[in-house]
Amino acid sequence: MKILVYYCYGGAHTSVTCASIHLNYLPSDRIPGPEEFAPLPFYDKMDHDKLGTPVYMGRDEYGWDVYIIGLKRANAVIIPAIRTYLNACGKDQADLLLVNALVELHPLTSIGGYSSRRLGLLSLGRRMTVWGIRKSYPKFLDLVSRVKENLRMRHY
Amino acid sequence: MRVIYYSYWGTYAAYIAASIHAGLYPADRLPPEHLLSRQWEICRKYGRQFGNLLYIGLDEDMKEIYCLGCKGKYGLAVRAIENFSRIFGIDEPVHFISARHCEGMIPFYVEKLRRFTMSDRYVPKLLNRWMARRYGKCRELAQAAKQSLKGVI
Repeated sequence: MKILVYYCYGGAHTSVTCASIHLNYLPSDRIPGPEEFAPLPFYDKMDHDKLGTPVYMGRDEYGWDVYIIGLKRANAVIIPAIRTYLNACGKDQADLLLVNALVELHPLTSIGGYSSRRLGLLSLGRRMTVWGIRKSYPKFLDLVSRVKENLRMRHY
Repeated sequence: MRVIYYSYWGTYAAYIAASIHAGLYPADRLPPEHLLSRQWEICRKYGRQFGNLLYIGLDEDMKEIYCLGCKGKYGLAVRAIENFSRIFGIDEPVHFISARHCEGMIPFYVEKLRRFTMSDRYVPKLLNRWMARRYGKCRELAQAAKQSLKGVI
């Protein structure tokens, strides 16, 4: 069992974008148009009370199951907790990869995420997040390509 | 079955309740002197290791007892562990018991004060006083948990 988890603050935008690029739901050779974000599974959908719940996004070409998760700012607590628990259960963690999807974003993305998920201003908030993510899209491409390179090295 | 006692810190209320549950600490009185100094050492070594699941031992029903410090991210930690357990196909159930209400503020002061070199003389006394006051609550929690988990495999 090979599991790749992209984690971010809210599990609704940056992790979904990374997982979508990884699974080829979003293009890796150009910046997608705003309309290409609308059909993405789980984009701007994660509820606050579901944070900490990994969501399955799909399986990639190397056979890794790709998940997204929102960990707020608690990754330094939750990741060791997950790893020590799996260790206690005797599970091999060589095939568990957790990737921080919080790349440097335009502040408008965070404001948009907050407006959409916490204030309920879906239309405005979603547009702001899409604008911000498109602005930082090369950084997402770079992160995902490095992750894929890592997986390719493990694969062979 | 695995039982995880959790709280803000992993080595205070959660650790003590888990130790009472596993039979490491006596249920009818405060632990003897050597266990109190051992408790201080555990707080020094592991107190700030949030997210580090500490194995305490087995109880009489062969349940594995652990404690965990979550630094206030209780819901996140519980959901993450439960869901990863499911993803990895771990059939053995895991039961979470919150020890937050047994902790109080003193562990925060203990952790703040133990940074200073002089603290080795006074902070263990503060810890012992806290234990004397909170031990009853931890015992009640452990006994209630034991009772509710009796017969559950």
